[in-house]
Formats: sequence, structure tokens, C-alpha cells
Amino acid sequence: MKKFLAVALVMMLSLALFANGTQEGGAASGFTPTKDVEWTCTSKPGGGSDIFTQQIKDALKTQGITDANVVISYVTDGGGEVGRLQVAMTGKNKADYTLLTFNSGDLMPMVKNTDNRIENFTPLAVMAVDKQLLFIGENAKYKTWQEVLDAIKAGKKVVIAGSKGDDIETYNKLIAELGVSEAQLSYITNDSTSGAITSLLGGHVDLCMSKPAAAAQYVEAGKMKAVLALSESRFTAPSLKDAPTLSEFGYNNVEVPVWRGVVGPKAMSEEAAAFWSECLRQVSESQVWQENYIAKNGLVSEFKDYKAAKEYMTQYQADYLKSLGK
Amino acid sequence: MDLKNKVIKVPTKIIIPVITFIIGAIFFSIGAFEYGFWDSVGQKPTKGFFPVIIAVGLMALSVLAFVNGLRDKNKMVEFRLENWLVPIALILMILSSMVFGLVLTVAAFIVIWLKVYEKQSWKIVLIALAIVLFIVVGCFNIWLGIDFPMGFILDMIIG
Amino acid sequence: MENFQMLFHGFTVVLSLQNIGACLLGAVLGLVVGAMPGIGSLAGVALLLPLTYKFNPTTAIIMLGALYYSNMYGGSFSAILLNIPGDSPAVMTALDGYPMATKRKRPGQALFTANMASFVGGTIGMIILTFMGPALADVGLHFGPAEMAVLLLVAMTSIGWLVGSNPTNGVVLSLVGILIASIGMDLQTGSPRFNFGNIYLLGGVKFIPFVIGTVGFAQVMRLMDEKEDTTKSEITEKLTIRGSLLTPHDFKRLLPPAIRSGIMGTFVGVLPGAGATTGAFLGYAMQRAFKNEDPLGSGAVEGIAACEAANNAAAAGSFAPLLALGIPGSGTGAVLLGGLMMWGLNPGPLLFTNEPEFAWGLIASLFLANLLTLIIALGIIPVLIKILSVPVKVIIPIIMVVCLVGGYSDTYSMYGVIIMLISGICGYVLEKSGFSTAPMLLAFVLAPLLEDNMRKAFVISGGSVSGVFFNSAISIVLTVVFIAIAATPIVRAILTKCGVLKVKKAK
Repeated sequence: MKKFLAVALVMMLSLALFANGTQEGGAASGFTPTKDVEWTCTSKPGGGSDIFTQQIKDALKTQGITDANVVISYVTDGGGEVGRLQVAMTGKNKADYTLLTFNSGDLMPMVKNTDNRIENFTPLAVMAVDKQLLFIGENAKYKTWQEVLDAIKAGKKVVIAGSKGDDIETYNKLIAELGVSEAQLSYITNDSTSGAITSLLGGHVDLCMSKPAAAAQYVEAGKMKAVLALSESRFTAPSLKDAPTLSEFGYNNVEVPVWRGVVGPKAMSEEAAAFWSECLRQVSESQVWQENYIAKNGLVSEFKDYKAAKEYMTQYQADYLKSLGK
Repeated sequence: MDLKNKVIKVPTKIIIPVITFIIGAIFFSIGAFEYGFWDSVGQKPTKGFFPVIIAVGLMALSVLAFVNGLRDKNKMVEFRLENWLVPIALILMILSSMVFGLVLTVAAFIVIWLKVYEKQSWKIVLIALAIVLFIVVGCFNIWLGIDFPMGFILDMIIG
Repeated sequence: MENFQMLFHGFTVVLSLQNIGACLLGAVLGLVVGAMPGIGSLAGVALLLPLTYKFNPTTAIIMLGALYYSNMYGGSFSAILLNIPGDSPAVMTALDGYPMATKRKRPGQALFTANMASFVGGTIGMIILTFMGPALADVGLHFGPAEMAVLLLVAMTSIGWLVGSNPTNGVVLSLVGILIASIGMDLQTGSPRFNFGNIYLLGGVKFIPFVIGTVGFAQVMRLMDEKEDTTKSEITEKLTIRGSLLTPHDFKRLLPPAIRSGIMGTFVGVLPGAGATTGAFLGYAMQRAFKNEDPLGSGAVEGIAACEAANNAAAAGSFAPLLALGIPGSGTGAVLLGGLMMWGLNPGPLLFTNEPEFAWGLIASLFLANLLTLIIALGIIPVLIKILSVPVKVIIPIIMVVCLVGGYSDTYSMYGVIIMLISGICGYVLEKSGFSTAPMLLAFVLAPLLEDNMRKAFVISGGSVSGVFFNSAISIVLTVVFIAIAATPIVRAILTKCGVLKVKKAK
């Protein structure tokens, strides 16, 4: 056993040296997959992360981007934390063949509840971003954001319904910016945005936080109306462009972008990172992806390569840690 | 094997309430002292609110169940040792799955249990084996696409 | 009558050879997967979703509907034959189904009862859906967190009907079940609780392995006692198709509870987040109030009929908010919604106006799936009951493997197996010591829903208790019902003690 460990250690070291030695090459051609690729997904089959992963997997194959055989493995234990930890700790020998679907909604609970950090991964790409709006229902008590602000000032309680993860962070930033307490502008967390929309349609809450896609058809049917864009600038879609941003009321804008991305283990070599990042760029530019995923889910396609993604995710984590006071 | 007739008597009717009382006490102390009961800033219950109420109820009723257990004339419950082969075998299967893989483990288990322990004929053993492999490999693995652990020996060979 | 015309039009879309074939295939696959413990309807629909890729949109959606629907049927099979519920609503089916199959030696009739009741319940649900669909969805919207909290309190009182001969022990275990369910991520604060520093417990204790263990694995341990029993082989003679048919008398027993539960189940299915499980529980609890030929829990036809009909009616009812509002009532509904959207069908307020052909085609295919699943289920019952003629000795290791694989399949890891093992051992010891575990399972499912809705209601009311219980007319009515149910045994006990009421002889 000792001998085996020694051999393994030597091999790992030499691999590391080799990796450093060829770093100068830097091009995607430095790595070609020769084994099965294990892509970890922390949601169950059919969940949001699974659909994202499946779409990329299909595009990789149908667009002829890589011949590598991708196997999706579902590790849902511990709300996904077990899967993320496993990927983070994947050793050198498998690191180049291990991918993980990683969203802002994964990063937040991970950073908040565990010691795992983005530094334990090799970010490969950001594929899409999304932003939030606040909506009112058909028979809302308050018809505009100004009326909401006035109500809060008059000591009335206003309730927002939203989903978990990014939405809670957006809400926290919002009340901090407005300088109101949790009791004045309250928030109820739902398992999904559709739960929040149900509460709004039933008139049980005053406002609902949602991304454009989830609310689109209710807006079209006249059952919901956007009253505030939680974004640096107004949205451009015709049905949403009338929603003002917070700066129009004399506050700073509140924007917590929601992104979907892919990462690998920390031990992944630079060549492999460059290779996968390039593959994902090609997926992101393909028509299949734009039509079947981005357009269908009303997302903004925004590709960041492994270098940009690393900077972006690290900054995102730093901002979040600051807001947690960690 | 004389396991079949070995019986031990345990006063579980009074042990269980003690355990449930301890569970209640643990949840109560964590809930009340760590998570708190009411969030006065947000004017809402905290995550400890509901468990604390339940834990208090559990502690109270555990005492009642304990008293009932003491009064019970048949407080000694008989456990046949042979029944415990079931969980022991399952623990062995979990451990073996990590080494030899789940499918191999399951197949070996069926053969050992039926042939060595129950002394069934080979015909029955093989039919049972075929059914089990059909369920595990045919339905769960191939059709539904659930990957079972291969065990670290096979993992090492494949790399 | 306009809806009826639309439904008729839907049938003309559905009734082509290819569509019937797809519906049939969906029904068979859904049935088989639904019967596998550990898969359940959520994973079942998700895993089989890719099968629909091969068809054109209309056919694919029809198959999807059949798949979803027949999954609900399958759950009861392993519950009745092996005492291993395939999904959470089937926990209630096992209560009477397993005793009826084994103690009363009527396995065929137990399965027939489950399927007939499912059919009746489902048909009622679909008829209500056809005529009231969009309007029904609006009724569901009136149930906000406060109303749901009180409704769940009412549902929780049904635990009282399950505790059996030793009420204290039953309630103790229910409370333990609630505490176990509180382990994991807390939704409202987004932070973990009671995970004791364990990363696996962050995700909570999973229901499927928990129920496979408490009911199924414990059952295997108990079976070891019957291993040397040779009386089992006696039933083999009765296991023919004819011996499995329901008698007209059984039909008479089955129909009233199935109709009652069917109507109630439909409305429960419409409510946000309530789903088939709550429906099945309430259906069973409601049956307590009516006359039963055999006591519930001892293998009564009425018990099986009440919960199975409610289960399937709720599955049909949940299509109302799903189609008319785009709101899935459960995880399974969410996967189904995803599948429908993949085919360009956009459930929501505009669906019935924009895409009536699709929408009514789907509803018509549910009717078709309901009928086809019944026929298929009836066809395979004679084959299935053969399981019971296998000697106990041989079946023990096979069920152990099914438990192992089932526990693994829910979490895709040994974590599920370990939960299954621990809860199995506990379930065995508890049952032997006079603690019945059924109330614990019920509390485990309903308590998190109750807690979540109650806390949301408190946030909305700003911490006022009256804002929860007297929030609206619906809450007030439900609160009165709750108090009435909770107070009845107490008042009766007091009156009996004072000698006002005569002590009722136990039947």
C-alpha cells in the first residue's frame, strides 16, 4: 500500500510539473478528452440544473463540439452540498474529466452554510444571467412603487413573496437600501417562484419578486404588472419597460444578477479548463442553445470564458460574504 | 445455526420513552437557546418556534408513555436473534458495495443467503437470482439509468 | 356545455391509432415504474420524460399525461403486496391493503379495489375538471398561507384516527416524526437547522428511504418470524383470476367511499401545494366518520377505496391550477409542466384561449389513460398476485435487495440506504413494543407543510394569532371545524365521566 501511495504521489507531482511546463502553450489544443466525462448535477432529474445540463450535453453532441462521452451524475444529498464538496476535492487524475453545474443559487447556500468556497473550484464559464423585478397583482392595494413607499412610510405593513436563494439576497439588499425593517417590508420565502406568484394572484401578498420569464405570461394576460426593476437600468422588453428603477426614486439601484455557469475541480489543469471553456463558448453561440434554452427561458445570453468567469464568480462571492458580514 | 431459537428480552416499552424524551430535550435546547423562539424585529416566529413547541409536547408525553410502560405487565419484549440477521446482512451489503460494487454484492448475497443459509435447491436460487438481477440491472440500472456504485476495485481498473 | 363540446373535440384529436398506442405505452410504463419502491411518481415522470421525445407534440403530450396518471396507480401495488409503499399516498393504501392481501387472504380483491377506486376517483376528478377547470383554479387561489395552515391542522387531526389502541404512544411517535422532518434546510430563513454539523443532514431526512425503511424493511424483519410457517402455501389455490374478482357486495362497499373521496380529493388537489398525499390522508380520515363493514386498518375494502380514490382524484384536480394558471401543485406537477412547455404548450391564464386543441386534447387523453390503465392493471393483477405464493424464505432476500436498491435510487447514494436501514430497525423495534408507526409517517409529511404555511401566515399578519385563524371566511370555517374535531373526544370523555353519556360498547 505504501509503495502504491508513493507511486501515485510521484505520478501526481510529475503531472503537476508537466501541467506547469506546458502552460505557456495555453491553447485549447493542449487537451483532448480521452475518457468519459462525469458531469455532476446537484438537482434531481427534471430540476432546473438538470435541464440546463442536459441542454449543454445535447448541444455538445449534436453540434459536433466534442466527441467526449458525457455522463451526468446526480448528487442531491445535503441540498447539493455533498456533490459540490465531492467535485471540489476531486484529485488530479480525474479533475480534467469532472464538471459541475454551478449557479448563483448554488453559491449562496454553499458560502452561507458550509466552508466550501469558489476558490476550491476552477470556474469554466458563465452561460446566462437573469435579473429580478417586483410585480403587483390584478387587484393590488398599491398600484405603483411610489404608493408602496408611501404606505411603508405611513406605517403600513407590505409583504413581498419570492423564491429562495438569490431572491432573498435581493430582498435583503432592497430593505437595506430603503432603510426599512423586516417588519415594515416583510418577505415570505417560497420553494419556487410559481409558489410566490400563486400568493400574489390570490391576493395574499402585496408584491411578488420574479424573473421576467416566470412572470411573462401572467403579465401578458394582464394578471400581473411590473412596478419596480431591480436592475441598474430599465428592462427593454415592451411589457417591462415601464417599470422604473430604484434610482428614479432617489435611492441607489439594487441589482443582484442571477447567473448560471459551469465549474470544474480546483485540480483541473489549465489546458483542460481552456478546452472546456472553449466548448461551452461554442455551445453558447449555437442556434440550438439560443433557441431551446436562452429564448425559451427568457434569459440574457452572456458568455464569460474561464478567466472572466473566475473573476466574476470570485467578486460575486466577495460581495455576498460582505453582505453576510463574514 | 441455533440462532432460530435464541431470544433476548428487552424492556423496550420503558426504554423508548426515555429515548424520545432525550430527543425532545435535544431539539428543545438547540431550538430554544440557539435558534430562539420569536423574532421580535421581524415580528415572526423563528426557525426554532415550531420544533420547540413540538419538543415540549414530546417531553411531556414521553413521561406519560414511560409511566404507562412501567405499569405494563408485559414490559419485557422478546426479540428473536435470527431477525437481526436482516439488518446485519444489509450493513454487510453496504460495505461490500463500496468494494466490489452493488450489482456483484447483490448477486452474491442472494446466492449466499438462499443456498448457504436457507439451504434451498439450486433451481430456486437461480430463479431468485434471475429475478433480482432483472429488477436491479434491467429495470433500475439500464432502463431507468440509475448508476449504482461500482466499488473501488472496478473504479481503479477503469481509472 | 361549451366545455363539453371542447372535450368532445379533444377526443377527436386523441382518438387516432398512433395516439392510443402512445397512451397505452405511457400507461404500461408509468404503471411499472410507479410500482417500484423508491422511484415514486416524481422521479418516474422525470426518468420517462425523454421517451416522449420520439413523438410529435400532440402524441408526446398525450403520452406524458398517461405516464403521469398511471404512475399514481402503480404506487399501490407494492404497498398492497409487499407492504412497501411506492410513493407517499400509498402509505395509506398499505394500512388496509396489506392486511387484506395477507390476513384476509384476498390479494386479488385488494388490488382490484385499489384500481377500481382509483378509476372512480380519477373519473370524478376529471369530470369536475372538465366542467369547472378554470373556475376551480380560482377557488384554489383563495387558499393563502393562513387558510392552508388551518386546513393542514384539520388534516393533522386525522392522526388521531390512526394512533390505534395506545394513543399516548401514537402521539409520541407523531411528534418524533415532526422533529425528524424539521432536520435540514429551513426554507423561511434559508439556513440549516438540527443538522448537527453533518453535511448530509443539510438536505434533511428523505421521505422515500424513510418510508421504505419504517414500513418495508421492518416488514422483512418481521417476516423472519413467519419463515417456517407453511400455512402460506394454502392461498395459492385461490390465486386465480376468478378468485380475484370483486363480488357485487364488494362493489357496494367500494362505491360510496370512492365517490365521497373522489369529490373531496379533487378539491384538495386544486389547493396550492396540498397534493395527492394530503388528499389520500384526508380521504382515509373522512372514511372514519362513516360505517365500515370491517374496522379500518384490518383490511377493509372501504379503507383502500377511500384513500386510493382521493389520491387519483387529487392527481386529476391538480391539473386545474396546472393548466389554467401554470402552477404545479407538486414536484411531479413541476416536471410535467416542464415537459409540456418543452412541447410548446404554455400552461397559464392564456392556455385555454390560445391553445384549446392542446389543452382539451390533454384532458381527453387523461380520460383515455384512466380507462386504459384500469384495463391494463386488471390484466396484470393475476400475474402480480403470484408474488404472494412465493415461499417467505425466498422472498425475504429479494425484498431486502429491493429495499436496498429503492433506498439508493431516491438519493443516488448510500445516504438513502443508511436512512432506510436506521428507520427500518427503529420501525421494527417500535412496532414490536406497541408503538404504531403510521402516525409518524403522516406527521412527517404534513408537519413541514403546516409549519411553512403557518410561518408565512404569521409574517403576513405581523405576528398576530387572530390574523392566522380568523384571516378570512375560509379560515374561520376551517378553524371551527378544527376545534370541533379536536374537542369532540375531550367533550365526550368528560361527559362519559360525568355519567351523562353512556359508555359505548366497542364494535
